[in-house]
Amino acid sequence: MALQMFRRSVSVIRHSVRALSRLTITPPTQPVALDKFSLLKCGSCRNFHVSVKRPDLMEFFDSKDNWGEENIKTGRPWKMEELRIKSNSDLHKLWYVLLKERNMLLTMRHEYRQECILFPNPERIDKVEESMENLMNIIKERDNAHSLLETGKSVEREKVEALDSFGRPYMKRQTEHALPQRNIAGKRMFLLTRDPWMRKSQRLLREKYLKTRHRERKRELRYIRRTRERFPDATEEDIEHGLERESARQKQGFYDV
Amino acid sequence: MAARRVTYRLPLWKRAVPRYPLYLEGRPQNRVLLCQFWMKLIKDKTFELPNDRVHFEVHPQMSILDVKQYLEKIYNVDVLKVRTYRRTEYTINKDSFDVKETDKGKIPAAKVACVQLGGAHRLTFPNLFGEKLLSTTPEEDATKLEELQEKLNVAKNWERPGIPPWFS
Repeated sequence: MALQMFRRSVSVIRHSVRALSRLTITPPTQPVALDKFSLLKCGSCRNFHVSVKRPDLMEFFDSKDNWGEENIKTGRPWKMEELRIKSNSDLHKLWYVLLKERNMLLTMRHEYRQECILFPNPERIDKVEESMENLMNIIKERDNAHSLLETGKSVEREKVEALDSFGRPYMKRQTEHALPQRNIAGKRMFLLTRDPWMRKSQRLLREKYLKTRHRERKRELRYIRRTRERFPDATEEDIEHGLERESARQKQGFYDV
Repeated sequence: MAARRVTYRLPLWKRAVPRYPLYLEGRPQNRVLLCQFWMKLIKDKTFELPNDRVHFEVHPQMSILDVKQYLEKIYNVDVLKVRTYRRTEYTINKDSFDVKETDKGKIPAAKVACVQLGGAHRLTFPNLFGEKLLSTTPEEDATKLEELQEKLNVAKNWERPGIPPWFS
């Protein structure tokens, strides 16, 4: 009797387990745990050390030893010279280490601010950012060198002269387009054309420009005349030097005391 | 001489992320090698979230799919569902007894992502400052004592305002 009861209970458990397994369409995934000993099993990797894998979402927080501490000591950021030696795959790995570090620091600072406590060593964020920026610069360098070899042009988009909607010239950064820009119907902006309705504004703009140029010339002549009156022995070089200083002052808009 | 103007360096995480390159049919898929997005894990103040819900403050250019891929590929966390909303900027400047001077200020706008975790991934928000919140430093105690004494002085001499306490 007891045996039967036992068997029945076992079958019930099995059925329930099966029913549950049918309900779940995808197999339940576990947080990824690195098998540290798989590397140690092979003889050549005996001296290989693996740091302990942290739990996943807890990577957004600092390690438990640093909670509530006033001073956290850290090293210096990565320099350009150090990063230049590294391979592309190494840089790719380093970038994601830095990214996680920055995320962690930002979350911790947010939490400290919420609780009105001073965040210890906030310059850590700047350090991480500096090393990230250096890394980005290195990648840019490599990209640029590659494109110079392949095409003879740098990666950065070139600046081209274009006219804005009032017919004024300006330097424009080129952008990618699926179709050439002239073929798009109904879009006549930013093309090198001057329409007749722009003439009035063009005239006024030209007048403004000529006036300012005339004023500058008059100011220069006045300066030369006055310096000649005050210092009759001054050479032309001295006057030129003075003119440069005067024009710089005019641009700055204040006088030295 | 006037002081030289120093250019303000925008931190990397506040900068806009560049556009994806143009995609045309037949070309290989565009892939992001150096992801510049950031995420902050934040605590929901209104109520305690269940075990499988996490809230993030994310880069404003991030989409729902971006958030999902970010967590799955960089942090190895399974994600069931993501919902985002934009929290508008607001200021706390009420003049009342409830709001202290220190609490007044501006709270910046942000994009918040509410994530439901999948699989066996769970997160309980850790207690980062266990006893530090209740404990006080001697400097804080001294300032508090001074404030108390001032209040007591005022209470003592409330009948004769404008006369200093040394006047008897």
